[in-house]
Amino acid sequence: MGYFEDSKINIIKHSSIWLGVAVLVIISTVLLFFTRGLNFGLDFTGGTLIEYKLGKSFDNVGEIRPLLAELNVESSFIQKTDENGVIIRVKELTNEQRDAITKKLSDNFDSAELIRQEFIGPVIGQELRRTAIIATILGLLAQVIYIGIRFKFDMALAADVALLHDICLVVLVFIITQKEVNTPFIAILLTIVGYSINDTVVIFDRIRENLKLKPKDSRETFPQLVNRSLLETMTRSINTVLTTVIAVLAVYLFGGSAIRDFAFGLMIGIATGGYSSIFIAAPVLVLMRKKEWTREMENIKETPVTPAAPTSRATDAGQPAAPKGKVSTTKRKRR
Amino acid sequence: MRIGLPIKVAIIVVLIGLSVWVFLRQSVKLGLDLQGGVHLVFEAQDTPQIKVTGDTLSRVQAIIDSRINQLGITEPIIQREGDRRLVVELPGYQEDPQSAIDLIGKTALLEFKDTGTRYVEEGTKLTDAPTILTGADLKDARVGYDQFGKPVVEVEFNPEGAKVFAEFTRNNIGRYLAITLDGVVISCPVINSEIPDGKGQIEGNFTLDSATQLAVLLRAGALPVPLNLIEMRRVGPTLGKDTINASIRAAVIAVILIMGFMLVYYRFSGIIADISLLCYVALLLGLVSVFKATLTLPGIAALIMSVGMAVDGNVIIFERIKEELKKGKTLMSSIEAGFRRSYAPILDSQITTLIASAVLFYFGTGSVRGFAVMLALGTAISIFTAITVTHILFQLFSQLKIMKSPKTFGI
Repeated sequence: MGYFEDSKINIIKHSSIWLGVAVLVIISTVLLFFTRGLNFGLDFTGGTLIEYKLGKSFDNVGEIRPLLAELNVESSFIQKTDENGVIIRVKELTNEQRDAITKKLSDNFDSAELIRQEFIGPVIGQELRRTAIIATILGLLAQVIYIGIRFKFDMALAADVALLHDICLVVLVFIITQKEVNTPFIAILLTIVGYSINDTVVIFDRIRENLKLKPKDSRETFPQLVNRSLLETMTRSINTVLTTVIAVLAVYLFGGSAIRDFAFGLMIGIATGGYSSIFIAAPVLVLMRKKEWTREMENIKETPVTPAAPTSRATDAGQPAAPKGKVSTTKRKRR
Repeated sequence: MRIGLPIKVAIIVVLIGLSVWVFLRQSVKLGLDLQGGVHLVFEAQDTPQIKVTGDTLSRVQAIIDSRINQLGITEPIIQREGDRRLVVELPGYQEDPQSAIDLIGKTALLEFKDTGTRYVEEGTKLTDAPTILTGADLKDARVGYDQFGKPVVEVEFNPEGAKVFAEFTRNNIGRYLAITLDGVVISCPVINSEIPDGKGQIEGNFTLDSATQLAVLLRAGALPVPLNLIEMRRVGPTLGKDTINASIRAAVIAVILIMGFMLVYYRFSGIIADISLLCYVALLLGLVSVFKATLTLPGIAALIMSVGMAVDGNVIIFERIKEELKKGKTLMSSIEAGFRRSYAPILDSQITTLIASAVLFYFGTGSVRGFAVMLALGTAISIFTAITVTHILFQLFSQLKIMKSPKTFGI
């Protein structure tokens, strides 16, 4: 198997492409969120939902709609879940109406078993929206603080930019597919916040280590070092994401209809979490430290290639402590 | 303190044995979304007289608790949520949820009202007549039958109530007495004679069920404030069963695929990772049983997903070992360096997942909480299996001939 660290792939060099795509994702999410919007489910909208398992399979919801019309039930939404499963969502439903629907369906499809009934008051939905937003923001903040403590503050910010992108992408996918968004969506968002940062941590850990081990006279620039770190950790980034995606894919394919959309969201989130660590978090970090490394690059250009610079001359110039002092500050910063 | 390898192995074997034993002995607690039942959320409403406080809510909770207890539902959950909400979960409840809602959410304020010479039809709202006694003055209420065999509710007043009732009936013979429940007349009998012993019969238009329900409500007492139903979820038993079967299949497939992947990619170390993964699954199931954590629909997804996350630690370690080997280190020192240098990134990445679960647990309710718990549990265990168990296995197998070759690591 090939090794990424031996390859000449330069991810950082094309940063503008990756960051351009990321910005595009974020902007289109915001735009579509306000124009097309998410397909909020019962938990958010309020109303009543009934789900049946019918005795016979049916082709499409067109077979059910007229039956409801006969009962004067105004259904806002009918969804086929399985070959013989159906969800009916209405604003209001009395018990008599529900029993009439059950009877009508069982008359037409041999049998109709009411497997789920939900009523959600209008207050709940508003609260849920607020909870989702607060929880996500708090999750992001908590990660910034943790990464800020364990690494450096700019690394924490870079990781958070990647996180923000991941959240946007999942929201974007849910807007485009119009899959229903319910309470578990909050769990999807927070899982992404937790998981997406995993790979970022591994990469940043490597960047930090490589910075520490970098010889004083190294001519490697910061962008080069980040790129090397990315390539060195590429296999594990791919494999960790792959194993988790395999697990969630199994849930998506075999876990049953009740859990499918949830698994779908998790899968998108985990995959983009792996992608964003490499293609967003690292490039953003390079961008944030641009001032630092452009100066570094100029220094490298200025210093002659001859390795042994006579120390006596530096002492003569009247600044003997300068190089030493500089080393110690950078070292402290890098820790 | 250094613990010898045999002891470490023994500890792990015992832990896994215990886990499997606990899991097999004790069935996992299923959430409402999997086992079926009714989930209700009520919100207490202020009245002109009473503002809802924590104290009011405690009283409401106690009353609801006693109402439900008399129904004989096993393991009901009545929880306060916030300042004015009560969550009621009735696992396995398969009747029409409306009857549960009626029983729990009814204020059940029984009033005996003096309507004088006026007869009031059953079912009408009566607010103007003066109240003589209320349900609070009752000592007991139970179902009985009148002379025609029709169900009635027999009530018995406490001593003070009995005194008032005796005096009132003595002075009002030939007049009407209206009995109202939450302001609606359920019966309006003529007073034929004085009732001195404080015992009476309410002859409403009862069926056996409705008479039983009223008796239950009267015994438990009236709610101090009215309740509003704001959320109701009812899950039939088949939905959960189907999902559980499907997810067991999904879990098995996930484990097999991941084990296969690790084996193909990491060869012999893949076997070690696979053994750790099996240990992980055993420990996870054991701890889920020990903590009696409630398994919910999203929780199942979290469990299966965590299987994929559990090998992440191994991937990080193995890749590191490979790198150390390529630097020209010996196999043993590469393994040691690989583990040592992987602690920090593994811990950091798992802690971030734990932080996310904590936030989710704090803000989530019900099934989402179940997800957070399973995710946290899985993450914590995977730190142990990915680092400790794998390391011990490496040490254990280090004497084998196959361990001397870099092929072990898929190089």
